[in-house]
Amino acid sequence: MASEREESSDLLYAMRAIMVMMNSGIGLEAALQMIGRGGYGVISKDFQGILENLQRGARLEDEFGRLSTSVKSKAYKRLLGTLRSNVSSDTDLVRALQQQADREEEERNEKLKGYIETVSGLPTMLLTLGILSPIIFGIPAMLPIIAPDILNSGLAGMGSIAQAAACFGPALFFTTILIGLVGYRAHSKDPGVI
Amino acid sequence: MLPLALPCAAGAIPGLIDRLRRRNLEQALPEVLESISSSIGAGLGLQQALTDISQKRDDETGKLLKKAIQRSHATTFDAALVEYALNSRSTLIQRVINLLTTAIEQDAPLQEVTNSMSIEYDRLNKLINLREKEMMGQSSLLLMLMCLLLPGIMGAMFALFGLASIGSYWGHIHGVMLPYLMASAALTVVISGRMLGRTKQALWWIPFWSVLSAMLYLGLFEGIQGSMM
Repeated sequence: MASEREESSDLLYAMRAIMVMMNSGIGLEAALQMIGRGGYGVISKDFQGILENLQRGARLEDEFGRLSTSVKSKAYKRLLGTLRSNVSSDTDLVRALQQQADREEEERNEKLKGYIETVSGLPTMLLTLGILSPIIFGIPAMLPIIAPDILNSGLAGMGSIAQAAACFGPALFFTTILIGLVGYRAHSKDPGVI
Repeated sequence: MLPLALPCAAGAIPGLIDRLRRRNLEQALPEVLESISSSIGAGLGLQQALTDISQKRDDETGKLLKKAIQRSHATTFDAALVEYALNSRSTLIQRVINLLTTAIEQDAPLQEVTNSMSIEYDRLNKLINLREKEMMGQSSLLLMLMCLLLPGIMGAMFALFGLASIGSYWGHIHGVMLPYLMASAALTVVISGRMLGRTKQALWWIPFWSVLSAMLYLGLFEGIQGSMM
């Protein structure tokens, strides 16, 4: 089953394509066939499935209803609902699609803005993490080299500093993992719009 | 790593050139569709309109269209259009040709279809450009900070805090810092590529940026140590 991101990525393009076709007087079934030929990711596969079921005798209205229960994206669900109501009640599909495409475009821009805001802090956050960790763990690691006398001076706490020095390598290893986890936001927060 | 970095960086260049070529073709698409619409409005057929455009344009779109028109003499016009779409290697162009083919099959008014498509694809191109523009800045900043500034600061800091002249031995620190900086650079390249939606292409750049990061760190370290001894 496709994820919401996969459904959303080509939705706007599919909506606009159906709109252009319907606006020029091409029928809904021909528009579905055109989308089903490919190029619109998950939507093409779904529409291809609908067309196959139609050939087996299914009703277009039922097929839209069945598909809308299985999709995750709200916008995709809305599109299927509009197509379904056009089939059942002969509504003004072009106008409805125009409104939906505009709304989808607006939402897409909002999502993109949100994503840009999310990742805008990423470079400085990663740099801070990347610099602070070697400094914090690097100073104890450097002590045995820079000032071996301090370690041997018998001062309280020097033993734990010497132990911390040994953690320099593992600490940087965990910092690298942390950088990867923080950077994963660039993937997890991606709205999936192209 | 250096012998690996150079071929990998060279391997990334064809992908980069292909993406630029594809984007050029996609950017020209609304203009081409508008020209088709005007030509059809003036009474020309689709094939004549495309021939006219291919003769007027001397860019990549013109070249590909010329090739498609030449092919159409030997095959069918539809087959030539499909070939043009495939040669463009662009999903956007393939969608347009698919739409155009359906419009021809359905006897739809091509002037209206191409005009609507021109407006729609102009809007969609602007949306694609917006993401590209906004994310490119962040992606480049991330690379500069993590692959250049971070090794620079680390190299300078370690060189200044422990001079070889006072007996410091840095072999161990380098053994830990170099893998750390190279791994950070590799992760950064993947993250910046993901931001632009081009993770696979970005993988080619990992050895280059990792080696650059390591060389900068070592170069600065040795340079500062050498100048202060």
